[in-house]
Amino acid sequence: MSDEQAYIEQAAAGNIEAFGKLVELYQQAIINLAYRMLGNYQEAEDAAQEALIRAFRNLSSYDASRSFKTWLFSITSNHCIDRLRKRRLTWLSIDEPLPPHPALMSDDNTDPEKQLMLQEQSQFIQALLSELAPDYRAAVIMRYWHDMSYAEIAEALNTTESAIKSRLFRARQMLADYANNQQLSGVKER
Amino acid sequence: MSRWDYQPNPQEEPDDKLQTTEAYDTQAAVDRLSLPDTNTESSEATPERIQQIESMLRNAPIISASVDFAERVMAALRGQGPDNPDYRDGIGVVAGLLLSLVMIISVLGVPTYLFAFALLSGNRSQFTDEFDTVVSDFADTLADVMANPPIFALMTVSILGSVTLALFVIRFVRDVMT
Repeated sequence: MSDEQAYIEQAAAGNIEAFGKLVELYQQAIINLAYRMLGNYQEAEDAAQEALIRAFRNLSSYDASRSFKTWLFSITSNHCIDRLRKRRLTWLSIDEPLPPHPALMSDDNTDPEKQLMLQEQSQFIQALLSELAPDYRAAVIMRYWHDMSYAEIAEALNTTESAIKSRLFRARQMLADYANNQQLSGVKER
Repeated sequence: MSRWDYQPNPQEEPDDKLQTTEAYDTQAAVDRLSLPDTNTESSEATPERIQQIESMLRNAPIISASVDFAERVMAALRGQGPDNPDYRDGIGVVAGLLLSLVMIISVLGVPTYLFAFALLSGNRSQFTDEFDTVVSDFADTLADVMANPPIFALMTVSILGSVTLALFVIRFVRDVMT
C-alpha cells in the first residue's frame, strides 16, 4: 500500500494529521488550479481551503480505484465554478489587471526585470483565461497547467471526453482570437 | 515531464490533431450556447497563434502555497470538529418540524374543530354558542397563565427555545440552498 493510500484510509477514519499529509502533497496543485480559475490569490486560498475541507468530510464517498488527485481537482474546480457563477457580474477583465502575486516562481527571484516579465506574463495569461466561461477555463487549466489526460479532465468535470476535446479546441481558438485582438489594439495605440 | 511531475498518457493524441469534425458533438453545441457572445464569431486564430498560446499556457509561471497553508486547513478542520459531524442541524430540523406541528395544531385546531362542528351539527346557533365557549375558555386560560408567574416564565422559556430551534431550521435551509 502506498503512502498516499495509507493517508487516505487514515484520513477517512477521521485522522486530521493524515489528511494534513495529503494536503501537503497536493496543496500546490490545488492552489494553482484555484488561482487560475479565480484570478485572486487570497480568494484562491480560501477556495482551496474550503474544497479541502469538503474533501475531508466526503472522504467516505471517494472511490479508491480512481485517482485521488482527480477527485480533489473535481471538488476544487466545481467549487471554483460555483464561486465564479456567484460573482458573474464582477468577472475580471483586461482593463482591471490583477495584482501580481509575490510567490510567482522563478529560477532567478532576485532579477527585477525577470520578475516584472513573469508578472506581466502571469497577468496576460490570467486576462486570457478570464475570457473563457468557467467550465472551459477549468478544462484549459487542467490540461495545460496540470497535464491531465482528457479522461481525467472529463472525470473531474463530470462530462465526456469528446466534450472536453471540443471545449479545449474552441478554448484555444478563443484565446488565440483574443490574443490577436490584443496585439492589434496594441499596434493601433502605438 | 511536467512541472507537476505528472506522466501524461503517451497513447493520447496530441492537441493539434483535435481540430477535426469529430470534436463537434451534441455536447459541443450545448456548450456553445453557454459561451459569451464576444467569443463566438471570430475566425482570426491561426495555427501559429494557437501554438503560441499553447506554449504560453504550458510555460506559465506557477505560484507557491503559503508556508502555513496546510496548517490552516488542519486548524480549520479541528475547529469544525471533524469527528463530530454537525448534528445540530439534524436536531434543528426535527425540532423545527415538531414545533411547526404544534403551532399548526394550535393555530388551525380551533377553526378546524369549529368548522367540523358546524358541518356536523348544521345548527347555526349551536355553532355560535360553541365558538363563544371556545373563545372564552381560551381567554380564561390565558388570564390564568398571566396570573401565575411560574407558568408564565415557563411559557416564556418555551417560546425562546422555540425561536432558537426555528433559527436552527433557518440555518439548515440556508446551508442547503447555498
